[in-house]
Amino acid sequence: MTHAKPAGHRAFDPDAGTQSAWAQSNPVLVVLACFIAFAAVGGGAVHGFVQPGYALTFGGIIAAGEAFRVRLPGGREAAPLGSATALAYAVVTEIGREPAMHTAAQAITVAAFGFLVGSVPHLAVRRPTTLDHTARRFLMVVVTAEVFRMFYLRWVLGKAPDDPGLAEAAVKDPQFLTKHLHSVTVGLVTAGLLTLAIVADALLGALLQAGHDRRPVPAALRDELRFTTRVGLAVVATALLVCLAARTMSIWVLPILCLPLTFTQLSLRRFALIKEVHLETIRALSRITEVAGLTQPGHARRVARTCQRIGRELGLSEAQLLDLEYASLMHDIGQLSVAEPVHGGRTAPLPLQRQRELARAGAEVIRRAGALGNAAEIVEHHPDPFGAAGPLPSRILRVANDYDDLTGATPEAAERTEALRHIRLGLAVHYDPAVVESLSRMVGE
Amino acid sequence: MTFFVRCYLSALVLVAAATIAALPLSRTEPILLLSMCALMVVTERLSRVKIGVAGWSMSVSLVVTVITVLILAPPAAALVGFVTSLAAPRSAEWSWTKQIVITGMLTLVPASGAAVCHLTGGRADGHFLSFPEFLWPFAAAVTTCLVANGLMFAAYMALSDKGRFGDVLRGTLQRGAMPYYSSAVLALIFLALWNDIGWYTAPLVVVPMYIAHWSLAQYAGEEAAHDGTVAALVQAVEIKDSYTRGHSERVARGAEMLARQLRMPHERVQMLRFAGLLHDIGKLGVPTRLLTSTGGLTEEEYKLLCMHPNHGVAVLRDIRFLTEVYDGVLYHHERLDGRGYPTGKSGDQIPEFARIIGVADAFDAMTSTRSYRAARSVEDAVAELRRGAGTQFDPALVQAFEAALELAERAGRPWVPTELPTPPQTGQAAVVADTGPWPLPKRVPGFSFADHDDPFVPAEWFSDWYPSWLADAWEGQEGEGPRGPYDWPFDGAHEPRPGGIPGPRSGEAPQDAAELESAEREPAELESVDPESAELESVDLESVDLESAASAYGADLDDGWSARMHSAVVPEPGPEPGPEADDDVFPRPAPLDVFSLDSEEPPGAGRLRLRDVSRGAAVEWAGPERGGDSRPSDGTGSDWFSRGVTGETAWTVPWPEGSSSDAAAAGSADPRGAGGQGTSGRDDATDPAEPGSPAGSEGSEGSAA
Repeated sequence: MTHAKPAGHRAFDPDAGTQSAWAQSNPVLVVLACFIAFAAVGGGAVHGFVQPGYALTFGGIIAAGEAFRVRLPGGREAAPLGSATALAYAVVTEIGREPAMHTAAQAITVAAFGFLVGSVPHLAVRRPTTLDHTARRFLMVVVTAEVFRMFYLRWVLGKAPDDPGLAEAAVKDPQFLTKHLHSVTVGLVTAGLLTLAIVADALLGALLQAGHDRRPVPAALRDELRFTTRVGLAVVATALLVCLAARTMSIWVLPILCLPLTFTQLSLRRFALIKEVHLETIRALSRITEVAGLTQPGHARRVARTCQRIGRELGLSEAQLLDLEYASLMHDIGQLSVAEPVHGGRTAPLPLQRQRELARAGAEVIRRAGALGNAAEIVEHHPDPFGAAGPLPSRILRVANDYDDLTGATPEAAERTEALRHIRLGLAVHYDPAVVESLSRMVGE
Repeated sequence: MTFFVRCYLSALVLVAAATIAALPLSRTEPILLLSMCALMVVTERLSRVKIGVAGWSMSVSLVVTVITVLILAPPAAALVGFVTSLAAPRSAEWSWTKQIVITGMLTLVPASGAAVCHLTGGRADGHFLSFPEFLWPFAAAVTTCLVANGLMFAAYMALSDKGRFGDVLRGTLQRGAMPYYSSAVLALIFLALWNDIGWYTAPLVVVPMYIAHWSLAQYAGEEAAHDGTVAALVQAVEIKDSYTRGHSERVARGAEMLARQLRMPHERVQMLRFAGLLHDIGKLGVPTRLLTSTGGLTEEEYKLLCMHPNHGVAVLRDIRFLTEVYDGVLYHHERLDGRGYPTGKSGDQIPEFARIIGVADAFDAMTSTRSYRAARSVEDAVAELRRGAGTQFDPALVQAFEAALELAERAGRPWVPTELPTPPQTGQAAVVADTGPWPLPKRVPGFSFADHDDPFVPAEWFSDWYPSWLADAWEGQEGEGPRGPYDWPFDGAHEPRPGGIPGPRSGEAPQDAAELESAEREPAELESVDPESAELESVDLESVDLESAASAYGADLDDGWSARMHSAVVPEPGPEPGPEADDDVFPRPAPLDVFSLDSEEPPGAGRLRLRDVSRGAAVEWAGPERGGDSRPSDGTGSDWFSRGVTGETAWTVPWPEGSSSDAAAAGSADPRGAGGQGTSGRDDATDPAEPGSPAGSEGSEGSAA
């Protein structure tokens, strides 16, 4: 029995939807990337392309890396193989004891075609995706190629990039282009440049995220940098290694050096898959209480969605958001283990003591399940009033839960306002004002 | 230890010793040898990182091993490996046998790799920089290491009877390939950069390797967490019933054993394990009262119980990648002869996963203690499986399961019957059964508690109501009779009546008077027992709950907030579809509100018409034995429920006035559940029906075929 499921059923992922890739992308970024790509192709055509074999090899690996890019849970994308290869092509100066003569325009053209070809399968199957990540990677390569080619040729070799004497000098002295490569200073500056490009990419990503769902920039940047210190560092190191090792080991070094990144990408792919299965399983198991008649249908998932939006807006980190998602999906599971569960499952009107009893039972179950992070703690403290100073995710969960208990599945506008009014009455005593503020912004939309 | 293992170990030791003895011939520089030994020992002791559960390990020591393979002669590489094996940290289950095997492998594997590297011409001067010529000896050497490692390990495992040679070899190669090749690449680039540019660039290689390592660890950790979390959650959910605690885990184990016996690929085994874990998750949707029922079940109760696979898939329906799991959960109570539920599929129509889980489920049910009997021995259970092979179970699977049990026993992990330390208190249970607070309409004497998955308790005992499909299935069989292999132990009063369904089947207008009488007696009994509960029943259930709760906890540390919240709660209009139900075209399999009160009936009439509200959503009955029933399927898939209780016409029974709960009739028949305690009367009407259930479509496919 096979079920063709629509892509749109994953209502939880804030980025996924039935919209096309174009609709989800930032238009400025995409237009800018397209403009630069066309300019580079034009510039490259004017100057002519050199060493097409190398260009094809690099471009092929870039395309393969893009085609197998990994979409991590939380909307982030990882394509270390494509980025590293494109960056390496931007900074490589000697391949197999021959100077690599390509210009910045050629490096950008190769990257552009690689990214484009690699994206075709994704667009062809209408995978819910965004072009933002690809555009970001491309811009990173553009900046690196322009700056490096300029820096290396003009300041290290003392020649302008379009100086006709450059090619003559390179032909005359085979070591001319690369004799400075062994200098530690040049190596360090190259490494610094690559690192800067990666960090700039993270900053751009944080800004985009902040624009997308009102995420505070520091929180978004922190998450981006945490990811960058892992995968981004591997990208920089691989690009540098290709640049250094291609000198003697020729183009053969490229597939070999790409192996660790390929393994990384495959591992991340499997990681993302199992993570998604895990999340979906937890989401599905959150339905247990519904089937048992102990919560309203869809309650847990509605609360989870509200919690995610509020949590993102209040600047929780990704790990905290994940914990909060687990906690919000499982927050009523204590109903299954207490002797007298609440029929219908509305916990908001219950007295505090009873709510705490249920929450403690739920936290016990989650703790026994293990591997759900701090979810147990969040659930345990979520009935605490604001004055009890529970952790922020707990306070978010409390507001979201009570709001959903007050409104139900498909509230009318008046019901929503009424519910919000009731929540406001408990402001600063029972509910965190910041959370309520965020909730009311959300309701207002 | 067998003779062959002894021979194998001595051969390992001899060959290793001979290899090392050839050291003077290789003219290795002592300083290089010593420094490599020191490096190996240091890395082995400091940096061995175990990743994951399946033994995926990757370590810097493996990189150093490859470096020794590439730069040293075979005897020298063997010596370095020998020293390393002696210095390696010892695990908890260390033994001399294992130490000898490990030493032999660590000695001989690098030696064979180095030998191949030599033979394929990899020892020319400055060879690390000659690309791509050096790639072939390099690849040959590393592959030799990998294969030699796998062969030696698999030979040991096969000789000591811990696994099959082919399986172990394949597993070792699969697990080892990635660590070996990635470490080898690291070693190669390391050597090349060192030779070409300088030592300070060599460590740069470590960064991508470290990240690859990190992502692998993330994956392994997540996979382990996933398995553990789901298992633990399922366990936590079944914690209320001490007799079925751990049942899911054991069924998962049984299904896994069976799958390995059938040589399924790894992914399917994992899926099957998952299906075994989750197969009874839908029991939560069945009122607890039915699961621990004292006495037989009425028809409605039995129907509710039969819905538990549907509840299960209702929970699981949003998980993608799980289509086979889905089948396994939905059809695990189907029988090979088509007399199972929920759809009555038979033979090959039953998906393989469901057949496997059916066997594992029944086996564990028999070998674990239940409240009405002690655990049976494995032999008894196997005999029972054999008896049911061909009718209830797939004979091929039963045979495979026996083989799997034998294999597990030989591997030292036999199936142990799950016996509870304290025997079930039958006396107390019997007292409860006799004096229970609820009326027990038609009790089967002798069987106070019964479990739905226990083959020792056939459906005929389990319910004194006769499933209509069983009656149909047996109509054509002369002589065999409905009892199958079992002897009916009870007196004539409880003799099952074939076709004893209250109400006429469609097409058969005349109604059995006795049946009608019995059907009418039940609610009358109910009414007379506890009028107060009926009174409570008439009030809005929700407000009763909230009110009582509020009054019970009226004075505590809450400053009246709960009362305010209570007043603010918007009254629920009834079962409402979730917001995602709109765009969700995925069929919802489980109509939970099986029966509801017909609202068109005048409220004062005092009569309740049980009506099939799951039109278009219920499971279609499409068994091949159904030739007797000539009623054409109306395509709405509702006839599973309307077989006995046909929609428009019949079975109207008296009922207390003003009942407005949409709880199933069986649920509200229990006054305890409807009362203020609210312990067991769960509302089953949480999941609204929606057209086009997968079971229904499946059933129509089956009938078309």
